[in-house]
Amino acid sequence: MSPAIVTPRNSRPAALRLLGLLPGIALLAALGFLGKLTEQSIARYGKAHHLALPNIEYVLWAIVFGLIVSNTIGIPVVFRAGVATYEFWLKTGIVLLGVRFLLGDILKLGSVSLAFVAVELALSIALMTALGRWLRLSPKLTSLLAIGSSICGVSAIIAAKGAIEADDEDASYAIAAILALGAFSLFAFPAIGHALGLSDHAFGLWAGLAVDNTAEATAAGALYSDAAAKFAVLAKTARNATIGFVVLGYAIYWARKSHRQGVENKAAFLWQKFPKFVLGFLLISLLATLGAFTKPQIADLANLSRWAFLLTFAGVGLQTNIRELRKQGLRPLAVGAIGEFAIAGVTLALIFAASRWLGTV
Amino acid sequence: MLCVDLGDQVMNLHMANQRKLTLDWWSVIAALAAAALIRFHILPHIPW
Repeated sequence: MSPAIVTPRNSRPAALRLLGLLPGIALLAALGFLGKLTEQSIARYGKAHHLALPNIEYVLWAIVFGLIVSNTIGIPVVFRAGVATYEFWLKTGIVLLGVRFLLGDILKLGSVSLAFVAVELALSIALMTALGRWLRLSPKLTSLLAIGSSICGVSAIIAAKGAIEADDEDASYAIAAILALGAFSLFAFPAIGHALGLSDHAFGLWAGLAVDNTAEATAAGALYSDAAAKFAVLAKTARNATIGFVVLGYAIYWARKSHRQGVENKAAFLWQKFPKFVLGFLLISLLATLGAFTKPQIADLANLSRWAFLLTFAGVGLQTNIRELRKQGLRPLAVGAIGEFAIAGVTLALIFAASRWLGTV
Repeated sequence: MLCVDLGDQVMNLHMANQRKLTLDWWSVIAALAAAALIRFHILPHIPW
């Protein structure tokens, strides 16, 4: 994670703080739009000169432009607060994407995804714990890596850090490892998917199940195709919904291990950790299913979701500082990498195995 | 440390209990507001 986007805590009035976000949001929009223009310009040039140029999606351009800015000139202070809003655009985009799903499809695909998530959770937790012990990582760092790789990356690690009373340093290592692997997956997954000839549905499920951060999972899906992005978001959202249960499990485990008082109100704990944007996603889908929107309005909302993702993808590039990731040490990264490869392989095998039933591959 | 700073200061996840609305809720409100504006024809056609 780049130190460049860490903003100082401040006590300015809300209106001033909102104004302070504008330069960074403008930077996200500019880089994202530049990515879109680049894709269109290359396609137009190829068409005009009768050249078969590869179609590189705006998603990749937006990320690459973000990476270039972040890793060369860095992000000036005035832009940092606004750049950090990329998480907000991601979640808003996901909620809006709910309009493209009928609620019945969400329940069907969501339950299939949840079944896969259950296997993926068990596997990642077991594997990361074994690898952490083997490479002699601290037990809490191992727990954080297991939580980060099994659910939703950075948010899960931050949610778990307080619950298991882990050190800042351990959380920092775990986040750096998950982010480095997320950046790698972003480029590796679409290449593997194309090499294996996966359908949009199968690839989307795979990216949603195996790529850790929601932003990277969405971007990997969008790099494959628009339809794959839809399925990646659905599978990832199902995975995110389990965050409370896993963090609660770890909180109880560590409380027992250190003989301190555990979680008193488990229902409140689960609600507190539950990602609320999932509810928004379901609500928009319910409204669309009930016919609250006309077809052109559904297209407008889907386009708005794409614009929100455009800002997110530029933010993914901007928040990845390769030098900072390299500083964090190799052992947590090694545990994460071995575990992630195994998880990617097993989830892919699961999707292949279920392909006859789902008609996905 | 830097990443934890980010979580603390930018995402404010550690302060979720103290804040009236979390980032998640703001994203839901923004999306629903946009949906209402489109539904009632206040926002014009959104091209891609």
